[in-house]
Amino acid sequence: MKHLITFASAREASRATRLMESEKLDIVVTATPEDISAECGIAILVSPEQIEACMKIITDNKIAAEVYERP
Amino acid sequence: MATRNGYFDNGATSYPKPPECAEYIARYLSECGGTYGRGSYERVLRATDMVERCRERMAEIMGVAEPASVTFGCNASFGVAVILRGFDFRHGRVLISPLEHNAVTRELEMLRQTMSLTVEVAEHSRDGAIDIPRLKAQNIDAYDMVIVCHQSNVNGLTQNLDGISEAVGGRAPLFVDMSQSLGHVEPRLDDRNVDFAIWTGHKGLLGPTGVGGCFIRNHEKVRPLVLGGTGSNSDSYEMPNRVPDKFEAGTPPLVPIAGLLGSLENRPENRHSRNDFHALLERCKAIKSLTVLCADDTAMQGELFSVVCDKMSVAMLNHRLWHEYAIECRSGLHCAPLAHKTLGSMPHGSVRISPSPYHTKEDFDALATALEEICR
Repeated sequence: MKHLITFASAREASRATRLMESEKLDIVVTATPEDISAECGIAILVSPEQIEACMKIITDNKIAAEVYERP
Repeated sequence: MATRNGYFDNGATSYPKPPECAEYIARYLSECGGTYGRGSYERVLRATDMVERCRERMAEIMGVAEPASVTFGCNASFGVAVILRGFDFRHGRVLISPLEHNAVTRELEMLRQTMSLTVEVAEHSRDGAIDIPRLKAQNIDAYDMVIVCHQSNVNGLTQNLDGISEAVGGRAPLFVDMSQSLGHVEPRLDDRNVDFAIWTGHKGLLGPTGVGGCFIRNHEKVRPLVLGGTGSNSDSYEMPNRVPDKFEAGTPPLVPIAGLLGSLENRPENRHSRNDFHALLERCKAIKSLTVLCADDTAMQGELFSVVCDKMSVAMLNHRLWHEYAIECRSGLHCAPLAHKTLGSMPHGSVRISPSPYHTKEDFDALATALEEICR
């Protein structure tokens, strides 16, 4: 089960991607699936092992994001 | 002999730019070329990252903690329209500085004609400096907004923003036009509780034309002006109620943003000192036939001023500077008729001298000599 992080805007997605990549977290940037809110078209797929570190970045930096579980 | 820099019209647009301005543009166009936010592949991510890094730089320069409150558009005039056309003028009354540019006064005139907005000019001294004690004593609560041109594009007077902010005291929103000042003077918008501001990339920031915009502290107070695609909330026919998207419909100006980022990340050292500029000003003041439009208090003097010669028209002075000395200046009203009215230079206007960090003391000496020879 992977986690999908979606963002409120391209700015939030850009901030998150930059911070996660600087921490060398293993993330995959992908298109936001159509069954999820279309707030921003950029989403990040994260493995279960990385999600805690990703969520810390999101929380510490007040990034507007939502997390979904995806198979 | 060194080539002299005779370009003294940086108040219109800056030249030269740091070489990185053009390099970043070329690199964006040849190696990236992606759009902003409307995809999840590498090209878009790099383009989006470039825009956001530029936004964050702009926020630092403006002294604001929240980069999302900085909007990218095509120029400062666009920024004025975004703010003033989206704002609710409940009192129907605004107070402005006596040195406002037409970017502001034309919008206000339109609002005066269409919704009977009353526009009042703050009390001031002869050089246009707002009288701070008198401002403080006014019933600011009765105004919808206080609008201040931070640095005049005619005489270079830099308003006392600390004093103005304190005098306004949060009793009405404060709007600052940073078009001329940004890059020369720190606006420190958070420290001074500024609510709205406009900016442009191609003057003091040494960036390219085509990028500018506004700062809006609380976006709930402004309706969006331009509606369109934002790459977000695409299932809705309404603009997102979140910044920066709310005020950035359509594709942002990625090419000039690239250039602006190049300029911001590679700002040159100043090639002259403040004393060199003041020496130029003093030489101009010493020319008998020349009236110099500048700040009375040197502490309020930005690196820009105007001159009027009583021996010839401003057009002729301008003509001779260019044709006899290869000195490039702008003459006329500088899109600031209110400023010229305040300074007593209506209707003839003035010849404006606006240097850049690239000017040297020798460039200033050559300019002063040219003016001395033409005006003797």
